[in-house]
Amino acid sequence: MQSESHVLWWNAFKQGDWDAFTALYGEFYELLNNYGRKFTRDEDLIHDVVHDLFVRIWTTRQRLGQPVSVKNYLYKAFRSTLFRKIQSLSRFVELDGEGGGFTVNFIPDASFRQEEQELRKQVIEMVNTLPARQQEIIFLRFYEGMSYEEISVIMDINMSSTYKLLYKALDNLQKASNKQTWLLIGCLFFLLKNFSKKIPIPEG
Amino acid sequence: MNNDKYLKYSLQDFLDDDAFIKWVSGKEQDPVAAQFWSEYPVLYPAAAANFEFAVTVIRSYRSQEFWDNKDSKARVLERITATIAIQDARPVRMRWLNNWMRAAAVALVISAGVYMIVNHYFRPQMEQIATGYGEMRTVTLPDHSTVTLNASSAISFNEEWSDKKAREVWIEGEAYFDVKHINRTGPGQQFIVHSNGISIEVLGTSFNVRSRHGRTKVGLITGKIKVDYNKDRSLVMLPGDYVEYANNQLSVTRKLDKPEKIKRWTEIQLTFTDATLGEIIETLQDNYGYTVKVADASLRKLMIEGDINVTNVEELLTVITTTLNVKIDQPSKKELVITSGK
Repeated sequence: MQSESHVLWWNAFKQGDWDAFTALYGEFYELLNNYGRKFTRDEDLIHDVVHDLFVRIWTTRQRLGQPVSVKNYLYKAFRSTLFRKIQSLSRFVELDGEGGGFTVNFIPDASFRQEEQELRKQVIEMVNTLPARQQEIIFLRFYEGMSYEEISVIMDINMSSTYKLLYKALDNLQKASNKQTWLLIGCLFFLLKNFSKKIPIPEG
Repeated sequence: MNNDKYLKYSLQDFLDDDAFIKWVSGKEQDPVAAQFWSEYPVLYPAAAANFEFAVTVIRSYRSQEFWDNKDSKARVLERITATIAIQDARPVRMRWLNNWMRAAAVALVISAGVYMIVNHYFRPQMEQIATGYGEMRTVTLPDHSTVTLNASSAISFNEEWSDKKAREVWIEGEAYFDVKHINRTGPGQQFIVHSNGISIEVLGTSFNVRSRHGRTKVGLITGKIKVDYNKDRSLVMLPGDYVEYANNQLSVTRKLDKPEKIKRWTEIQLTFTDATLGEIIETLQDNYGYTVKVADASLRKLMIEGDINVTNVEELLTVITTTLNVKIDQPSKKELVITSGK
């Protein structure tokens, strides 16, 4: 998963190369914003966290190590900076429950078949009923495509807790899913089987 | 990869398999591993149902909103740059300094900032960006204007833009521009797009340029632009205007009902309005690298009335065969043969 250019940029940036630093910023800005958005809808807060994170890695660049994955390193650092900021903010203002939340938004897209459209909506709504940490692990696992090990590093928990947390989330999902969802999946299934050549592999 | 454990893989096994998760979320870069998973249902038919179930549910979940917050990207970077410039230059014990030293420290702050900006922005070089078949890319220009390049298109521009010279870019293929209006007088306010024999002069606006097969088409969405052609001729375009330039003349001029439609390709991959089969074929060849054979030239004139908005070629072909009385054969991956009748 570690891309070669990430390693090159990281090494050059540690030597004080400003272009490599802005290249890293350019590469990860959107991903970090998307990740941050799941925790809070406060755009300014997300901007502040991105700002603090990049200022910090620049000023401490000589002391930084060689992460296994630059992306995961930045996710972890971004997450802990965001949590610290949310915590210090919540001492002063009520964050209307956003402090420990996690939300994924559904976007209707007319190019999907109606059954698919309905399934997408239901799956995302179902995941949104889970507690924040279970939602986050689902996001890291199935959206970011991370391994158990990578998730345990980012969420700062040990491997067995990572497995347990994901199992718990999947178990809750199974309980939450109603008959209609399974019927939909079954129906879609049939469709997909018949047009199996048409399954576009999700990218990203 | 050929392993007995896959014979009876359960749903849980799939969700637990790091390699499967990596592939299904599009992160697998190893083509051998990717091929294994795409062939999985054929290799292990007994577990194919579980496989497809896992793919369907994960794919549904993955179709969520991606919040890129692009609008603030440049602004946040400017803030980071400013903070770093100040921090790098901050003297440790300011209160011991007398006034003269204070002035020196301020000068240091400024020069540190200038140094960084100089280091970052003022290295003149030609930037060249090109897209391949089926690829689309948004490029931010030095003045933070944005250009979305359609498939098989290219843009080049000078990495350094000064306010003493016009902002200039060169385009091949198709591009949608969203130009920043710069509030100052002088040549730096000018924004010029060069494309296949014509120059388009802009003042803060959004428009679409399409230059393929020696023909350049320009559609204006907002603002005002001037098109210079054949050295001494020029034409001012207003929103909704659409012109075509070929063989040294500006051939078609018409008013678009919904000018924003011409940039729809920036959002969806394949989009047409009242398109003839010929136009669709041209897009398949130019943007996706298909070779298309048509049995009878008159077929090219067939028109699909209304809008087509699809995300991939396969869907497009389905639309064609269900609306027109034609048959499409695909002898190989990038080859199409269109014949009349079912």
